[in-house]
Amino acid sequence: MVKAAQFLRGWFAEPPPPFELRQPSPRWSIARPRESLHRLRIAKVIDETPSTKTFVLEAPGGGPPGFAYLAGQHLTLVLDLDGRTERRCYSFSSSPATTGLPSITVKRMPGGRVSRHLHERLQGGDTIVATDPAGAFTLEVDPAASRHFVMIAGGVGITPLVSLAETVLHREPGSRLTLLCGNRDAQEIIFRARLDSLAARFGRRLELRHALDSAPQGWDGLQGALDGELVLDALGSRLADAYFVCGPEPMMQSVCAALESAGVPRERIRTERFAYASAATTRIPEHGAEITFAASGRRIRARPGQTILQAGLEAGLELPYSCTMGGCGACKVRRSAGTVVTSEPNCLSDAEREAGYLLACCSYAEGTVVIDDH
Amino acid sequence: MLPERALETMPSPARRRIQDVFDAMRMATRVENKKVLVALAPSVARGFLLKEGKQGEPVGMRAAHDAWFDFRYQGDYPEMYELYRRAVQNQWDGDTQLDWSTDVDPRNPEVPVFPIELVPLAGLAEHGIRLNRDEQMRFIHDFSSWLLSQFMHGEQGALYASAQVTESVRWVDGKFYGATQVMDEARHLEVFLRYLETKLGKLYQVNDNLFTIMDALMRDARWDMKFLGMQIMIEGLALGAFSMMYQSTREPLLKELLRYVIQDEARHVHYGVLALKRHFAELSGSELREREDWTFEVACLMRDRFLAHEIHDEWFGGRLKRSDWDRVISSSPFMQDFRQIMFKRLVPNLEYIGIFSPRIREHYDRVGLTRYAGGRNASELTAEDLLTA
Repeated sequence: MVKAAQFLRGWFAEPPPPFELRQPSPRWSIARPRESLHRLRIAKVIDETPSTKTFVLEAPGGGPPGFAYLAGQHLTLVLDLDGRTERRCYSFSSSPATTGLPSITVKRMPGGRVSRHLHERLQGGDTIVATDPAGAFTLEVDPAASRHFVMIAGGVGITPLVSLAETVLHREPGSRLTLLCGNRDAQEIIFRARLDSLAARFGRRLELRHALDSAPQGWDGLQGALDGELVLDALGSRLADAYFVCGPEPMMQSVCAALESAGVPRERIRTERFAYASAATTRIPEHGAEITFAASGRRIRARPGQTILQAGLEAGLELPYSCTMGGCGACKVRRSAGTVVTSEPNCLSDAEREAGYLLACCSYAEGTVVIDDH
Repeated sequence: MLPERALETMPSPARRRIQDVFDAMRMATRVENKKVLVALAPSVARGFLLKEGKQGEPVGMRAAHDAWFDFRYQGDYPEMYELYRRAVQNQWDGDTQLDWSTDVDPRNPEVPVFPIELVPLAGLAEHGIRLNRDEQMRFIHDFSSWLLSQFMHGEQGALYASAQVTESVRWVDGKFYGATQVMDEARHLEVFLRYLETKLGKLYQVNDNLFTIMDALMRDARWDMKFLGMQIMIEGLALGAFSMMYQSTREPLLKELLRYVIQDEARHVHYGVLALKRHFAELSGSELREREDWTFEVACLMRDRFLAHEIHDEWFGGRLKRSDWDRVISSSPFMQDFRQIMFKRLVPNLEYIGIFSPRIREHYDRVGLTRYAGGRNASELTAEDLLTA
């Protein structure tokens, strides 16, 4: 009865307004404040290899930048390219244990907008913006410790490892390390002179070994791709206190699996994967392109602005798909040739990207592309 | 029913209540399927008549579903497990990945939260209501707050519904995935609430239509109805709406927020489609018909949800009849586009899971919803359509 009376009274009473004016809740300020952005000047650009450059960073007015970092951490660069904001993470190649300015080292990636921009456009004196250093691929330095570290680097994966290695060598005089570096050929060995210099200076505390996919005649290092088998051969049966692995995903998977199979406890293995932080939508190619679907032998032409999925469906191919916006992975296909541009972010994992997979619904052929499936 | 002239002589609170009764009756008389009427009527009463969502107090919705345990732990739905892994890998943090330091002025025409075309100024002018520049900016501020408030309320519904779905789905792999959606929805609720509180400063009450839908699917004991209501209808329509909002906003924080949310929503819809495609193939003809009819009624409720009666009552309650407002808002170009994009994404999914027969298509035709459906399938909308402004 009371409820009924209230209900009827409500018919003739002015209801409360349909909205509420709100002040920000105090809990929002409990949340971690937004990352701070640092304006940095390129003090120097160093050509490390034909495809790799090191950018030495300083404060806009000169001198060290206004942040501290740990060995193994990375910087996220925030760049405005053609009106779109792009973010990419790059590991520090410098060591905080040595004097000198911090630096990052960048490999030019095929089709990589940001790495191309950094390689082609940035020069000494230019300014860039970066977030606070971040990342957990670090180690707690203990000057009194006597430890054995193993570091395994594939290609540009040496970047955080050289920082960690220098830090250990300088700050833990009782510790030693084994550093295995894998590269395609001798020309692509990054920091070769620096590593040789470290080996000469620290003697028995640093065992440095290079592996080359294509070794020149007379090469006295390891030969072949630096995979799990080669790593186990090189390391022997000694168990180290910690293993740091960084490189392409297949190499990391192979090495980690091999280490575990050799009895290395999983908690002793540390890995670092390179990933996009948060990329903006990619610029779509303004030209058409040919796409071949290898399984069916169908060769089709995508119009400008058409995704691979759209072009395939239009041509009558039965391609799987669902969300059409990079969120579900239903349209995943593997590419065996050609370059594509893919809208970010999407749900493809780093491992899938490394293995050549792409999402047809948000990928655009930049030139002739061959898709293995369908 | 009372003639409109008689209605106008009543005090405005009573007039609004009677209009609500009319809305509820219109809804009830439209329903042909008795089972659907029985399923929806209590929720319509709670939403439209008792106004349970607008009492300013927490509302209880008694759930009646079974929580399914499976102690065999079979890999029973690999596609769902894959979706789960993707969801795990793509979790984001609304606190650190969105730039909350962005200054947002919801009345700044240079950086509009939503364009002025969102509000039906021309339609209002036809009824003698002309807003000056300052009023226009206040109006667009309120309308933006109302729109985002409704999506925020929808996210709260999605949070609880996804929790229920996680309990009630029978595939273990579906439970894995469902748990990630619960987290997604909490994050969506968090970022919309934070945006409304810290940037727009105004929260609107839940719309009666939305309340009714949430009430109906939260209380329904059948797991597939929860999926259908939440994953396909609410999430599917939200996906379209978010893409439209993403394309139309020029405010960078909201744009970035929507971009993240859209990525999650796409997964959620895919989950619903996966689950229901398999389940509906096993239902009888009458069970499928019931689901078709239920979905149609929910679609009508969703369509009418954007009539924005809360805005009408706040701004034009004494100046413009609700029926005129309904016509003004329904025919505004922006809202028409809005509906078109929303429903364009819905129909292909209904077709795919098998509940868009020629019989029900006639119903959609009759109320004008197929004119929004447009395309044959979802491929018409690409990621670039949705994300490129």
